[in-house]
Amino acid sequence: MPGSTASSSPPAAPAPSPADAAPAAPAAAEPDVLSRSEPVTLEIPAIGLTTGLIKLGLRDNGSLEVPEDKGNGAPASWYNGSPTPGERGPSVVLGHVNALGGHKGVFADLRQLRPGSDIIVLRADGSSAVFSMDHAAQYSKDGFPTLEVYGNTPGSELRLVTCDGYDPSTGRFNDNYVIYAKLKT
Amino acid sequence: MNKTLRFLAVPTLALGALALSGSPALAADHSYQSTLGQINGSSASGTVTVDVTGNQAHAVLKVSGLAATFMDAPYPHVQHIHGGAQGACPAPSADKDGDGVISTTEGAPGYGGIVTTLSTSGDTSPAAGLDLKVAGQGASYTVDRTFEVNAETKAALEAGTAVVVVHGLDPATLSAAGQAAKSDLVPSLPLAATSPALCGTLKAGQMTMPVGGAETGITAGTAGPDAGALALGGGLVLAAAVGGAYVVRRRSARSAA
Ligand SMILES: [Cu+2]
Repeated sequence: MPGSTASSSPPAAPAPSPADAAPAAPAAAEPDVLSRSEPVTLEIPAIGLTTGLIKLGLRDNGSLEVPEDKGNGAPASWYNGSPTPGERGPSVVLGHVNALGGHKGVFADLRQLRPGSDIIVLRADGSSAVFSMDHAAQYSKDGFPTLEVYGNTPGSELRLVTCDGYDPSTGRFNDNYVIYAKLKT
Repeated sequence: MNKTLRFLAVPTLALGALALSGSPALAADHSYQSTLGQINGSSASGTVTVDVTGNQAHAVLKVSGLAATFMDAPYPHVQHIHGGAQGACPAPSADKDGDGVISTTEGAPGYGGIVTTLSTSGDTSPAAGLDLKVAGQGASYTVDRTFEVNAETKAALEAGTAVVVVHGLDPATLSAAGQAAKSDLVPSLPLAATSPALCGTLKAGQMTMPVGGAETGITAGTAGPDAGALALGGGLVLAAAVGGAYVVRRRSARSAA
């Protein structure tokens, strides 16, 4: 059960109302987005995933902090230097592909997602941001295209980042697997 | 801060990373970015990021698909940050003399004059703007420079009027009139040599851009019997930096399994 590795259950959120939260007067030709509200929970119905989202920043070397697995797996995390999910720009969410003790990680099943799948983020203000998967890409960590993944976007987008390219000889994952999704309007 | 310094700083900062988790100590004050678009049908592409920390700018320009050779040598592409105008790249209508080529001068009402030269070495001031020896070379290359940012460039970045322009076209792609014309900047050169090939307005980033992917190549010391246990690896990197904490965590992991 993919969902069973996730650590928290969804809060009792009121009915989603993304349209209500659109800010006044975005610049001409820019897609509507939601106002700022930090994420609480991530749901991906197509793979039965529900996970809480912790908030993490950058390490001193400028790279992303990742959730710590204390032995029971780890929830996914939102990078708190990126836009909140629903705000204009690419919101960055990380999750492990596997867990301590050979268990599955919270994002173990991301590869099963297909374009058009819904990705739902419940937010602290009670609203939800509903994204639709656009495409996915696998990148070597040595040649990670930071501008493509983290660069400015006209509307609200989401990046789900996990690992891939496991190398048994080193025990390391050489690649990142990134899902690109756009806010449904 | 240049890359070398950044790497040197990592070992001494590794312990702090655990205690001060999430502190963006090396984050730039301001980060700007642009995806460059072709001008004059160059069919080139590129990206540029400019991170400003204090009075230092770190610029990374990556281009491909530019004209490759000029007189049997790598084609020199002069490249600059322009500023002080509208912060705009020229539309085809900027070709006022109708020769089918938007010259650097014809594009200037949109992007302004040179405020920084993105030279491959040495001087980054406007004075180096037409020095072919420190121009980009060939069809595809990366220029990674850290330099003191001047007041004009800083002002243009903050005003959203800083525009990166890479110059130099393949003469064979121009109209007959364009091929016959002399450069508006350096009359001894053909018009193709100095005309814009790529252009993009630098915009403030929507986030503090992380370095690399979800694990940024700090590989030393991470390999081991359980190195694959944490998919994103970062936990292990930090754990390796403080062996004690690592042992404690491994024990709790075993008892939980
Ligand atoms: Cu220029």
